[in-house]
Amino acid sequence: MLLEIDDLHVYYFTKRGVVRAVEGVSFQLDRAEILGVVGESGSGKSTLGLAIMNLVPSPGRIVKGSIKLDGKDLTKMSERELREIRGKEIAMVFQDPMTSLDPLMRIGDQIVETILAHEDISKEEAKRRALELLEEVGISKDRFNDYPHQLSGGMRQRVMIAMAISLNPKLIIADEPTTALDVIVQDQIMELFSKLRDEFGVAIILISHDLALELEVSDKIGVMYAGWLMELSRAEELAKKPLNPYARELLKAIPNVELEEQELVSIPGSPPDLHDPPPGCRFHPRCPDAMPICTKEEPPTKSIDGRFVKCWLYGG
Amino acid sequence: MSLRAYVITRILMTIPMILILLTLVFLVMRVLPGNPVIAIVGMKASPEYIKKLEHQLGLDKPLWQQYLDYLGNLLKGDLGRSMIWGKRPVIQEIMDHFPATLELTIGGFLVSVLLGLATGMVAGIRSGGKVDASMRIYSIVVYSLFIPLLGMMLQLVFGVWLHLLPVGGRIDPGMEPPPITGLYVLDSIISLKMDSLLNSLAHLALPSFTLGLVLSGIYTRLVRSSLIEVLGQDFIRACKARGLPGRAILFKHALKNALIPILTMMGLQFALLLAGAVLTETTFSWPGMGTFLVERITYRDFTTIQGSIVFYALFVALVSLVVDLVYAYVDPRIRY
Amino acid sequence: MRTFNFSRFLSSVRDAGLDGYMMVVGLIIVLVVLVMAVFAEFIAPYDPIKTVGMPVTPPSPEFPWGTDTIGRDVFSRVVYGSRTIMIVILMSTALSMAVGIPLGLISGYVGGPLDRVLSLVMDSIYAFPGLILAIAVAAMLGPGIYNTSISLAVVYIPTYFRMVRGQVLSLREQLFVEAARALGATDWRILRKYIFPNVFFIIAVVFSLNVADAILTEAGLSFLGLSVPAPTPDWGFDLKNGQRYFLSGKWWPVVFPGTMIILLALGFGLLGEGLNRMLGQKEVR
Repeated sequence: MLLEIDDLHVYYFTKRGVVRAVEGVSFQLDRAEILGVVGESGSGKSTLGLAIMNLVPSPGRIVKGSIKLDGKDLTKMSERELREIRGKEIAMVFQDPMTSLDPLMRIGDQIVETILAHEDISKEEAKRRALELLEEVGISKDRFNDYPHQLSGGMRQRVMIAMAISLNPKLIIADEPTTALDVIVQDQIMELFSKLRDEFGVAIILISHDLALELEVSDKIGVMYAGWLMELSRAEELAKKPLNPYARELLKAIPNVELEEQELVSIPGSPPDLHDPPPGCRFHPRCPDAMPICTKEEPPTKSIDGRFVKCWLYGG
Repeated sequence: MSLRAYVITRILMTIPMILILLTLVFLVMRVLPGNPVIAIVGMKASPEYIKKLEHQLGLDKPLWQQYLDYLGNLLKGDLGRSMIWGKRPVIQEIMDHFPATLELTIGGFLVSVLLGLATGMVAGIRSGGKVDASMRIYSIVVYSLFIPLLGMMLQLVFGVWLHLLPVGGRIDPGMEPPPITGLYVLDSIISLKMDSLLNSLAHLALPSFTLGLVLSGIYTRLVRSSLIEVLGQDFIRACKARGLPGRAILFKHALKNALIPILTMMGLQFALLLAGAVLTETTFSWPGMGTFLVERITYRDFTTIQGSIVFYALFVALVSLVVDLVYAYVDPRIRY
Repeated sequence: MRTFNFSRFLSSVRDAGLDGYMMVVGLIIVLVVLVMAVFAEFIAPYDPIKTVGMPVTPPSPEFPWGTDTIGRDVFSRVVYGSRTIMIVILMSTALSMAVGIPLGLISGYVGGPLDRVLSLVMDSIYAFPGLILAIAVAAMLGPGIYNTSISLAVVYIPTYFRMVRGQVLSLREQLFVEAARALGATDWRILRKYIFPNVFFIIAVVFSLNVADAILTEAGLSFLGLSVPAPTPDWGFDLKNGQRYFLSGKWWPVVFPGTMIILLALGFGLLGEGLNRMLGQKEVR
């Protein structure tokens, strides 16, 4: 098993109080698997992604739990050990490629820099590899000397991906990689991810608020809400029969182009303020299936046919 | 647009600014009350002599004609002649004194930037803490240090008590390097005269430090705020995610990006340097434009005063142009 | 729009921590000097322009801060000097504001070619070294309290202009101005009732910081002998006089007036900085 996350808690210690951004999240990810983490903004999905590489910005901290990569617990590593893993064994792709690239440095040089930070090879060798990578992600080689603002959004994101795969990582964490891009480019990027999984055996955690997107490309999907992992299932199973009410409502909210006369469905209400979450189940104020116990006690996580669901509907 | 097109555009844009400055200088010098001739020769001179001088200075012509003559002369590079002593061309007198000011200004600039970078970086990296707060106080206190007093204190400590550095002047007589650029330090290096180099550096030390210290506070704040802004940006986080070492992130990425807004300010700070240099020169008996200007004011040397102010205006415009061009070179987003 | 509530202001001073302290310290310094200036007759033991002792005598019970180069009491001269500098500063600032603020308001609000020309002129003056501009004007006008005020005022007009214009530009497009115009308010009324009150607070901040700078410029002018004529008590001028005795150990004619210059500039600087942070504005300079 490549990645094992067990009972992870990540809190932000702000002046106003403690924000429990990620609470009790556990899952496993194997090689050549794409896990889609979906949720509304504030669900903790981005924090989860950052936490894996211990990049949670202060005042945030991992408070409890373990993150094991090939058996090694990342939460117990020193900054220096982590630096070796970042970029090399785990790579991250961020949402807005314009602000993720240094505007003053040519894109080719930035890829080379990443390579040289981890591998003891010559600059020419690194440059050669960088050129290959550009080709791999579908960028013409004579763009090597361009500056970030000279490329389109889609191309910049592909540069980010090129940097991410430059050292053959085992895991790529992609946080909303296509949100800032148009649909056509979105498809291309998703194809690229599939290719990485199939040809190179890379595991990918795809973080997004777009469930439809994730259903297309993910093997497994984890649904997050207010810091909790509400459901973790295989993508087909989730699409056919979601277990958790929140997941079900999310699915219902996806507009279907083929159906005529469809009303736009949305989930009434809004996510809770994580300084002061509601008692019991955090989703109960908006849940159509809420029961009395949901208002009082936190639901346990149950395992059903290899799927995980956090909900009182499935017993105590 | 390409760099060349930008350069040309920028140079063209400087022309209105120069014109305005020159007009302002003209207005200040000619339109303000006070007959400059009487100021020079006093009330007791005969009316014929006054008329003669007025004619010499062109003050009897109508104002708009004086203005055109003034501009015309400037285009020819003629700043007039001094009204006292040997009636030397003003431009020549300025050239005699300007290198000294330039040297002092460069020295002060280097000190202020270095100090400002150091303090600003410390404040920016540890933002929000006690260190950051003390740096903020540093920048206010340092700017309030009246240059003459600071200079005199340093003279007392390093010149008189510790006997480490000379108290005034630019160089000991006889130690001057061969005049190539007029900047003693540079000339000493070029002609490989070590003793001249050491001597001129020793004289340059205290004045540069005085000027630089007072102005460093401005850079402290700039560097700090620019650094904080850059460090909060996404690409820094992306750099960390790629596993780049902290020092590389700071120096190669953060600082370079942070310097961009600072560069634009450097043009304006340069004006402060020139102003501060005047006080520094008079405190340290530094034979530059500042002491020269003040001296000529006491002698009521009207043409020289006017010529000096014009020179300052042109020089400031030139420096601001250069800074903008450097900025365009460093930040590719401007050009492409 | 902001209304001013004093007790709320006091508690926000306390909450602001360092910035609050800076502001308070600055305010105290400024008030002390103001008191010195206003009540000089009661504080100073001697007439500042009369020779009352031997030249350059060290501090003693008779002359707490010693005597200067002509035998005048340094302490009395410093006390009266505060009056000189305060008058010059306040007059020049009033003049700068009287010219710069209305021009900035009009230029920012009206826009168009008027704004462009005015901005270009103001930017050019702003770019020119302040002290040198003051020197040029002072050289032509000659010495005197009024002339010095004018020299200083010229230097700082662009500062007020730019600041006010910037505020007007940002406020002009905001919703409540549009709303007022939709309700039929005339331009003048908009300027007066809506734009000006919001501009007021930033004026206070820029005022303090500007005065700090003006103090140093005025002291610079006096040091060069270009401001008020002798024997008016003036800190910069006294500093210059004492300069030749300083290195031979006679520190008091220089240190006392010099420190007052630094202190007063510091006072306004702290006041301005503290106010700046407390009002939550971004740095203005």
